[in-house]
Amino acid sequence: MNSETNGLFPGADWYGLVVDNRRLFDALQDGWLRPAAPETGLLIGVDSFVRKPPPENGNRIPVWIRMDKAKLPDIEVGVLDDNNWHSVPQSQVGSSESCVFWPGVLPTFAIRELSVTSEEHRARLVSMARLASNIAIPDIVVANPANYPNKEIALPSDSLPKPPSQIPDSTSENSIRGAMTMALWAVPRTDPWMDLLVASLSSNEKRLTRAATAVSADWWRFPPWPPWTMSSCPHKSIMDGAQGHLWLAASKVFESHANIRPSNATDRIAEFALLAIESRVDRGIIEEWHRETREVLAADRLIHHDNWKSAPVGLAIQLVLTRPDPVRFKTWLCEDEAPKPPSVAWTAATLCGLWHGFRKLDTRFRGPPRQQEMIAIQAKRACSKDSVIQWPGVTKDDATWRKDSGKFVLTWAGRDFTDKNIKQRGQWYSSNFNDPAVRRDALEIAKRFDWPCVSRVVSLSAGTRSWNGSGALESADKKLRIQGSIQLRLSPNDSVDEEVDRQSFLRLMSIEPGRLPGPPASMIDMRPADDIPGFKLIPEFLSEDEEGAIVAEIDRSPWNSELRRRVQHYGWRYDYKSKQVNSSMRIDRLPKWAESIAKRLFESSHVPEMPDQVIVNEYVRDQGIAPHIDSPSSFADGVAMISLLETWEMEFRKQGGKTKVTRRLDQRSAAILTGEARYQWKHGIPKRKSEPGSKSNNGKTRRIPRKRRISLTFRKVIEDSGMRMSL
Amino acid sequence: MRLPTWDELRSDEEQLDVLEAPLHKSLFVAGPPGSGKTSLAIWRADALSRLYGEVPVITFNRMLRRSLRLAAREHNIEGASSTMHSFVWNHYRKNTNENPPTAAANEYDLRWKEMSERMEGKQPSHEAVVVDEGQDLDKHFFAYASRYVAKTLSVFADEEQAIGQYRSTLEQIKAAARLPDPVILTENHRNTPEIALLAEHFHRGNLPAATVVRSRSGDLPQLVCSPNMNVTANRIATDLRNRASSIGVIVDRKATGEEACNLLRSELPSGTRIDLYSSDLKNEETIDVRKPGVTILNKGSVKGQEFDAIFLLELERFIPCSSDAEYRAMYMMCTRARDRLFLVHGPGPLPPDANAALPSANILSRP
Repeated sequence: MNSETNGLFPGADWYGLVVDNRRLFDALQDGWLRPAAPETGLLIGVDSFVRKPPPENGNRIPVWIRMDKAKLPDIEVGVLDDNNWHSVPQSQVGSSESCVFWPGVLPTFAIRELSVTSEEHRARLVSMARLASNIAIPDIVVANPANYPNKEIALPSDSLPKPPSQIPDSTSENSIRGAMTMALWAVPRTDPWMDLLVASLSSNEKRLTRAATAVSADWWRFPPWPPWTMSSCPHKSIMDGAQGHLWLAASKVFESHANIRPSNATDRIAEFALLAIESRVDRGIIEEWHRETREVLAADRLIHHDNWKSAPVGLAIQLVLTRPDPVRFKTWLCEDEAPKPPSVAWTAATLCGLWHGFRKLDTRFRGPPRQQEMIAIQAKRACSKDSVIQWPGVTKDDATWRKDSGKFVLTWAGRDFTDKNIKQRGQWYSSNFNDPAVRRDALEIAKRFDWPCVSRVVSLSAGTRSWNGSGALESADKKLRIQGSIQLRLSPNDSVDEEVDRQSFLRLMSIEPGRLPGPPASMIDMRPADDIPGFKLIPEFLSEDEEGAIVAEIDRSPWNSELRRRVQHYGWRYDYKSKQVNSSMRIDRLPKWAESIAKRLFESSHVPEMPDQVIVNEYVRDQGIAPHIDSPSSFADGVAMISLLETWEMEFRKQGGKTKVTRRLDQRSAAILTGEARYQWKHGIPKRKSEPGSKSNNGKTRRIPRKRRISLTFRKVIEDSGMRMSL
Repeated sequence: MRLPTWDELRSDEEQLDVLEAPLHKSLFVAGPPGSGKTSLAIWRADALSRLYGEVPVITFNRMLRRSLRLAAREHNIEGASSTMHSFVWNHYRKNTNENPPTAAANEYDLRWKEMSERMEGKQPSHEAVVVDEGQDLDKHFFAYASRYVAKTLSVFADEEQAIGQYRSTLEQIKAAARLPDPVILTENHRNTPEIALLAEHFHRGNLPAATVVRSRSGDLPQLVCSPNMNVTANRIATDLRNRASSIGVIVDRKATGEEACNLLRSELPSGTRIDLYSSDLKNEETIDVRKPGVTILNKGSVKGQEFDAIFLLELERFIPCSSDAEYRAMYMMCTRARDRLFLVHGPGPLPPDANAALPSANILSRP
């Protein structure tokens, strides 16, 4: 028994306390164990349990809690010295102390273990937790209290003044956590919405505006949580249009009135929106929305789903008012007869979370434990600007996302905190539109739903065609200019086809309602990306037009021919002899084309810092580059390589490892190296005459002779003394 | 079944007493509509089965048995639920290899005294058993159960909702099953205060109506005059389409139910759940009342169920109430609605006596 006991309670790394089942559940539903009022903090044992003598409490169940010291912030805690509290940093509390006064709330994510003393207690406790919709209880150990380590704890008298609370605890945290949690639960799973989600959780205004515009959800420039919340400033000046004002009004009403009747909420939202609107037209829209919504609530009329384009926010609010319980969202997002466009569904889910708050939120929406931990910390941070509490392992990094093994992985403050499976719609974004099967299926969808992204293309084979008519025809700069009207006679080999415009198609894929099929299954790139952790390929990063324009620009500029392959340097010059770069080698700002790409890479979070140096490499026929790692001392993390003109393969080999991993760098794609891929893997282009093409009908891979590939490498120079650079 | 939040459980001392009651003792719980009896019964069975293995849950009719089974399945809870009648038949047959003796005219009329004599000397077959809607079960059943079925009984009942012919009072149940005094639940967690206030208008009985704990966040119940069933069906369909909620439609006559059902089926897209239930159709196993959709039932089968919205049709056939049993029925039916309640009559105006039986406009909104 003793050895088992030692196994249960090792080392000097935990705090212990005993609470009854009611206080435990209070804490679990909320995520924070709060001191009983009017206390400012909690008395906890160091590697032992503080247990106050149990009051007469009938059938309550005592639960022994062990908290992981390593998950708590390093704040000043109270230790007893000569029957007086004095402050020491938490990290310096040693196991020689018997108890600590923790000045504030304790996070339940720090719970390492719960134990009770009998099977009967465990059965009751587990059942009780299961009855509550908003509690998920960790595993419970049945143990004998006689075996618990018990230091002799001289409890200070209650009259001894306690140190003040150090962890701010704000009331708006609850609604903000509710909104963030529902936003994470309901986020539409395509790249542009992921961009908007992470931008809304960060504080870069430009990035947020861009992301909101990309999905035609302008009102999301003001997410309903700090630092964006507008509660303190009049919204007249910052939003225009009825929809924007409805959004701000609803955010305000739902955040501050948890228990308002749906019909009263409707009145308040309309009233508040009207206060800020001067335009007669917009006032009319709000008044009409108000009337309609009252009728909908009385089951006198149906919600109009058809006008989601002109009144997305109005529709979203109606959905929230008719289905105020988030549990209802689960049914309507999945099974409802009228499909909800992503912008409306996401907006409604977020408002619903804001209204409902986190505390009441059903466990099914709360996300994995690491998400709950992150949101608990971030909401606390957001609500208490002045707080300087440093949570272990939580950095100041903005939120980002990446794709990994069929999932969107979200990262915030330096941690992966949740992931979402990529579904049908999202798979289009990883599809290769050079593939005829992908283009065919996309065209079919576009035509079936009448999406405005189809154009007709006339393909003419070599030869002469005659034309008639009174007009005239001339050609310049890849443009055919026709004056008047002409009739062009096609030859039998010519064809007129319909083609989908990739960019417009993908945009509509993120905006339109309905259950949409995914791309052809074989075309989805499901290779596990973690073969090379930190390697990411973004297909079609540039459009065909951009590619053409950039190549033309490069070809107009002078080449540096000191190497076998031709190169151009922008931003910083690079000395191939000394293999160095220093501040004197700063050439100039990046040319416009390069700057816009650098910006795009940074603002869509593909690289952590804005690149300021570009090398253009031209590879002709059998030219290549030996395996190398870009100098870690000269360049920051995040190297982006954009491939122009042809699709070639790149080879990767982990340092010290033998296995070669090959990646296809598709024409117009961006390949990103971060973390392990950037620092621990060598990459190179093999010297050879051809590249593998697509598979032919007999299953064999055709080889395509290489002609010319241009690679653009974007990096951020570390501005430090004696910068060196080696390739 | 909608589960309560911890704050909701926490705020109700009596519910907490029930939840925290030790598992090795019998338990008796009485409470008004919406006090959470059925949830507590299911979770009692869950806790007991963690200690003892399978624990039978016994209830009054097949629709309730279905609800218990669905709730158990939804929340992944062990528990074999049966109607009292089928449970006793199986139990008696297992122990005696004979069918239980019944009155010649009615196989539901068990001869408890003879059965008891035949079982004399047998030990309880289970550690624990849970009984829900105990008020509608014969008091002799409780005597039988406490002697031969289980060492401990957990019984949940509300004598003010009894509608059946074999109803038992709390006193009778307590004496027959040798139970402790009941824990009396007093809070209503189901209805909005607006709906509860209307239901209270029909409340008759010894115990005060429950205290409503939901915040005032719903809209007033509505009195609706409908010129014909088409208009009524249209309103029900609108509510369903806007809210995707679970809707209960209560009718008095079977023909009305059938008409409503046909109209709704033609009005709503195929694939929408529209179920017509009656005990002679025996179709309860195909119905999931909690899912978005419409369930059409009568007074007897709506008992113990709960819906997001209730449309009580043929109002003029239910009011004015002329007996305690009719008041109990109105009270029970109104309290089935969680969020929205529509009392529908028509085509003509309500007869004056029916109109006089309804509360004022600040409780029931009128057109």
